[in-house]
Amino acid sequence: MITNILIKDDVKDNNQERTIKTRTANLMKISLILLLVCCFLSIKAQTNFLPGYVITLENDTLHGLIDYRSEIRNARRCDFREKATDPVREFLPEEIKAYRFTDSKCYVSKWVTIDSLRTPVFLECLADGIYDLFFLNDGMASRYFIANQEGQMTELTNKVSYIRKSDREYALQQKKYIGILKVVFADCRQLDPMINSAKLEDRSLIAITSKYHEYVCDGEKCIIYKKKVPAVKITWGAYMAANVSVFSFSDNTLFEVLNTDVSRYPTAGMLLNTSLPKANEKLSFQISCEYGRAYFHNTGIPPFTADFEEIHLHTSILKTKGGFKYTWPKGKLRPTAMAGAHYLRMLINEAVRVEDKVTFNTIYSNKYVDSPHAEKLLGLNFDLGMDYHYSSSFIPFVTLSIEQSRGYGNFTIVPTVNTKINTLQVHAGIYF
Amino acid sequence: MQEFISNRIHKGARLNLLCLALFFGAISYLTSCQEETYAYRGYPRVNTLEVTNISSEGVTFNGTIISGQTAEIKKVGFAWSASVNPGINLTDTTIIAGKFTGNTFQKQVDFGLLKNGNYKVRAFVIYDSFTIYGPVETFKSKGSKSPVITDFYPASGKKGDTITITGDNFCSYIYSNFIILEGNSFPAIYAERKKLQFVIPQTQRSGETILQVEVAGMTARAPQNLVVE
Repeated sequence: MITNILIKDDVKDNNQERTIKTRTANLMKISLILLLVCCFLSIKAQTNFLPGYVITLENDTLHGLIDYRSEIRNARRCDFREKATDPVREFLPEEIKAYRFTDSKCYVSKWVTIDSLRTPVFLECLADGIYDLFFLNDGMASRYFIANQEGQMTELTNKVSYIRKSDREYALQQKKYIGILKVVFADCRQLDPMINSAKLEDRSLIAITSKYHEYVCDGEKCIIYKKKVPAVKITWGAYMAANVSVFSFSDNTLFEVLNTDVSRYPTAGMLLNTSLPKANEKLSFQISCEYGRAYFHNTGIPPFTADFEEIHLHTSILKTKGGFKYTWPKGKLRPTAMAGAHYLRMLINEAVRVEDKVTFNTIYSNKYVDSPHAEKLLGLNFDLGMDYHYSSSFIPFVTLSIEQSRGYGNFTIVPTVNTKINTLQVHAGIYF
Repeated sequence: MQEFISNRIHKGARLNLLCLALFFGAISYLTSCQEETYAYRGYPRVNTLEVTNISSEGVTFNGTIISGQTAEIKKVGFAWSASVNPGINLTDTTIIAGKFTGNTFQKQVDFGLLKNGNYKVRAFVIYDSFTIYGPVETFKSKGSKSPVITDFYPASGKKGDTITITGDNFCSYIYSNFIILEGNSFPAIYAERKKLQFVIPQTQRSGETILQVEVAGMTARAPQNLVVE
């Protein structure tokens, strides 16, 4: 029984630890795809050693640090080291009895039959009672197993078959697990209503297993190991940002000579962060939308058209950003990194181009209500920041973001003018 | 315990509300405009501002120096026209008297403006040996004061003699003022706000004739007739 080898505690929030090896790349010079791939690989390679212990085959307990990864990887191997400086020892399911993260998930080594093939795996313990409930994500499917006091394992399955009728395909759920549960808990008919409405998911199966334990066992309580982690976690937030932008034209002989003043302007926005804690607690997808008003000013001497040119651009900025965010999983102060792309829409309030032309001793200044700027720009952004987990519902954050946006504008005598905006942004905001 | 949790929730809610209030405060701040900046050049740069006080009595022209030294500015003024690019000696012009100080200047013009006429105006600056014009501003006039002839001298003259008219509301641009003698109109040879000069045409019939001046579609008649000898 699991109780013999594991400390009984209710599961609390995970305290997580990892060492980070951040790859820094110059976002301005690489493509979005390359960046995202690099980011993904970087994240994938991260270790996350948390306090825990391993039960050896000889029933010895080794306390130390265990690498906390995804459900799939945790089921395949256990990377352990006694101290942070020690080399990592890799344990496969045949090599240890169990391992557990302190006050958190526990895994026991079991042989299970998957697709007629007996395989040793680490099963995640969900409940420990008269019957034990286990979970396995082998990368192909999420599987549940129930074991009796003798350790005999039965998989709870729900095969889905498809039939075609009148050019339509119908999915039929066989719900075999309901029959299995009825057989397993045949001595407790009070559970039938619960079993009839049971779903093949953690909460439902844990509820049935623990309820059975309550009916049958008067002594010890059934232990629930499962951390209550939502399948999808959505948080939203609001922020303000201070922006420093340089607006320039390129790939064009007429306007690229213009110098640009550094433009400083504030923006404010809302964001939505979506993560799949079961798959990866550190990685999330974040989208944000922000608004601000900016003034850009370009001056210079164009080669043909005038003796001096000046562009004043008063614009509202609407920016939608999306990207993958990595959050250090431990502590109150959690560093973050995000890479993604954005769409910047400039809603022009006023665009004025002033040309000075010198003729002998007369200077004419002419004003035109036009500008070669692009109104729709796409770009890349790379963020580094810090989240402060004051409480679960109040998380202030600060982020430094580097962005480059590009777009094409039209001008009467030049068909396309490449507009480029480089922005350094500092956000401060809160997740609610 | 319950009280503690309740306090925590209230504290969190208060913080959230405070942050939301700050957020919406920021949004309202963001809708405010930002001031323009102007590049410095070796000469004063002038901008023509929007024409104001447009009425049947005239308009007010406005200009500003947007960058550069103002100490060396000799004169500032406005040039305007209904048809061509405004400029000194090319169209109607008004120069602001006295030494220019500050950055902005304005001039009320109550003469020479046609009712419902579409005009262009440029502010200008005379600096060193340069005349620097600001960009064109356009406006639609609602009219201006009629020209007035108070006197002219000499009261009689031969063909080819120069006659000086005194009065008010004449245009500074000679071709904006039309002298009318017996229905024949011709331009003045000199013009300013209160004075016009013209030469009696060789084709003019001898004798007493009515002297009129037309400015911006409005006609003024001299108090007495001109005698052509």
